[in-house]
Parts: sequence; structure tokens; C-alpha cells
Amino acid sequence: MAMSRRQTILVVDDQDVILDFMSELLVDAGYAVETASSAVKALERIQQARPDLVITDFSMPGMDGWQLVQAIRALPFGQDLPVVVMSAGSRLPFRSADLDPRMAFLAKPFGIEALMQVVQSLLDASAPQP
Amino acid sequence: MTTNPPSLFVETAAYLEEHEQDILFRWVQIASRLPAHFRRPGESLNALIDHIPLVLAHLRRLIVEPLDPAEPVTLPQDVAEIHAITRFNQNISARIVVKEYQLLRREIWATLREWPRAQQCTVMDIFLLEERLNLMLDDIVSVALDTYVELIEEGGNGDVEAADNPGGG
Repeated sequence: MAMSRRQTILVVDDQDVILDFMSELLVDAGYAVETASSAVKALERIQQARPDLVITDFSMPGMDGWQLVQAIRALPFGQDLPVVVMSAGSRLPFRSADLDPRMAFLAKPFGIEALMQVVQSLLDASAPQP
Repeated sequence: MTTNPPSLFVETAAYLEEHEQDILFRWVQIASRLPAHFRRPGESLNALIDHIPLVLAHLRRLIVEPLDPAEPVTLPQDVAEIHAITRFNQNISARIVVKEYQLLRREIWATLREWPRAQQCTVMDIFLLEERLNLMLDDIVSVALDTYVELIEEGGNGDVEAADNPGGG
């Protein structure tokens, strides 16, 4: 019986401590994890590793999380890539109309359960239909 | 005469233990944005979290200590002191340490608010729990500040005093 491939999640944050904690949680939950400390590095990793989902911080020096989403959507395979945007504060840092069905928003601080639910629901929604 | 803690306290300690990683995860998301930590891009997760898991363990232990009106609940002197010394040696100001505990208090209560059991508590239950938890945390903050004062008076690390007023001249 062929083993199913572990789904890969790319976590993007300019803070190492967040990358470390998120990686630990997601690996424990059974995902393969890639990390990037900037949006530019994330775009490189996305093209190399082809993750199943991206989790990105909104506030990052240089290209921010929203610009990263737009750059991802411009990639040939990026239209359907699920993206979770994390931001401090409870308000959306962009227009709610900009949230597409392949996107979710998490206001910091969020709990582990909220993170896992969002990740799983986006991955389920993007899974190929039988 | 000592009396056993109410069962709610025992259940609270167990719930906090079960959700410790969640409390730490929420805490890290905000604490890492505090100026002192944010200016340290290479800081490791362990260095940021430092003794906070031990503080949580102390709190849980203290919540379930028998109630004795004649005896104050034991202070978590060691952990609060060690955490303060560590932060002092990292050139992190007392103000940031107080903020760390403020965030910890917020995340503990945020976790307890999501606890279905809490919905069944009476106002008096909540009052007693709040009194105990907040007193413990206030004691921890007070030990941290005492430790900073002692270290500064001993002439330990002048940079910390400067870091207390980063915008000042």
C-alpha cells in the first residue's frame, strides 16, 4: 500500500521564535514544515518546495504578508494555494473583500486549536475532489 | 486550621496544566513583539520563554495549596527571582519583565474564559479564583521588582537602567 505524502506547510515570519514554535506544533500535528524569515525567501521556498499551504505573518519588514499573498497569486500554481495570514490585533489588516476562499485570517494571539482548525479546513477545501 | 482547597481550584490547576502549551503559544506571539525581545532577532524560543513554564507550574501548585488563614501562601520566590536575574543579565528592563507577567496573566485568563467549566461557576467561585490567581501573580511581579532593585543597588548592570527608558536621554 502506498503511503500518503505528508502535507507541507510553509511558515513565514521575521521572528525566529514564532517560526520555531509554529514548526514544533505543526510537526507534532503530522505536517512537514518549511520556514522562511521574509516574504522574498518565502517566494523562493514556494517555488522550490511547492507547499500545500502557507502561513504568513502580516507585519514583516520589506514585503508584508499582504504583498506576499498577491505575489503568490501571480505565480502559475499560486491561484489555489491556501494562505493563512496572522496579524496582531483583532481587525483585518486589509479589506475583508480581499479575503478569497483560499485565505484565512488569524488575529494574534490565537490558540493552538484555532490554528489547527484553520489549517485543516483550508487543506480539506483545497484537496482534489474524488 | 487549614482547609482543603475547593474542588474548583484543583480542576483549574488541572485545566491550566492541560493547556500550558496553548498559554505559552499565545504568550510567545505577543511577548516576542515586546521591544526588548523584538530587537533581538536571533533570540531562541528557549531564551524568550525562559522560566515561564516553571512560573506556570508554581502557580498551579499554589492554587491547590490548602487554605490556611494564619499562613500566607508560599511565594514562588525562587522562580521569580531566577527569571528576573536572567532577564537582568540579558539587559532587559524590569518594565519588560512586568509586561511579560501582565501578558501571562492575560493569557491565563483568556484560556480560563474558554473553559466550559467556568460557565458553571458562581460569582463567588470566580471571585475566589481570581483573588488567588491574581495575588500569586502580583507576588511574582513584586519579587521580580525587588530582585531588580537589589541587582541595581549592587551595581550589577547599568545598561538595564538605561533600557528602562529607551527613548530618554
